[in-house]
Amino acid sequence: MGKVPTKLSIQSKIHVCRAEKRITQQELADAIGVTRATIISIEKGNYNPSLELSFRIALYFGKNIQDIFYVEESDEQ
Amino acid sequence: MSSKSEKLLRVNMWISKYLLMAFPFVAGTVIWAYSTPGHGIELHGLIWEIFSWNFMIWFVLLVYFIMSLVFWQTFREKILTTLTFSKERDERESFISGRASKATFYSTLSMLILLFFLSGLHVHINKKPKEEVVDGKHGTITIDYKFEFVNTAKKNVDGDENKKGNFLALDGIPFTQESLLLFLILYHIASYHIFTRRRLGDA
Repeated sequence: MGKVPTKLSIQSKIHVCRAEKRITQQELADAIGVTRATIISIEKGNYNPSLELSFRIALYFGKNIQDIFYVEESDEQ
Repeated sequence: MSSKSEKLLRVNMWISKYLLMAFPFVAGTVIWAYSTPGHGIELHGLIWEIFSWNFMIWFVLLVYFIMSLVFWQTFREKILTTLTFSKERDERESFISGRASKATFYSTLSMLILLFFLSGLHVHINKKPKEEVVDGKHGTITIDYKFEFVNTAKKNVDGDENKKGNFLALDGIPFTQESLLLFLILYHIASYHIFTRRRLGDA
């Protein structure tokens, strides 16, 4: 089995999905029941959403979780 | 939450509002009483009766309010969330709140440990008179650590003649500051572990 890094840097493509759907951060926040600050934090990569919230975002955009969230290579092991 | 406790919670919220709204009248009653000779003993009349009854009701409800805060978790969380301006509108804010609570828990605990240490510590530095100087030693330093559970000195003072005939006399907390601080330290740790275990049990 491969070695898994202890810390993963999870990034999102929410801003891209929002741009495709032409919706604001506030509209997305209202739709999935969080605050705008949370959407900003997720987009910046400052906050990792829970699995439930990730699914809610994915369901809202009609995509799979992997299409919205991805792991960026991190130096930290 | 059952409908019975929901109703009780609503009643408690009304009591909290009453305590807040009626506070200026209570403060006014106290100021009025203290501004008259005999601190209000000689005051009569309908307005004074209304104000003093309001004061009594307010005080009884205040006792009930504080007891509810201590013993009812739902009410405590509702009231203290408002009083401390805490925000938990979504999972990120709950996460931040959890981290902040942990940091606060540790910092408060360390502060309590410091205060507990200082409460029992007695340091005396004395300078000796010239005639008592031995081997060039001009003074003494005494370091002592004392722990007493109850405030015995205060109890003796309180046992004076003024208390004769009292059906009930409650004069603050009879425990010493060091025993109170020790209680708070233990209470802090115990409540943290009880809530953590309860959460782990739920999971």
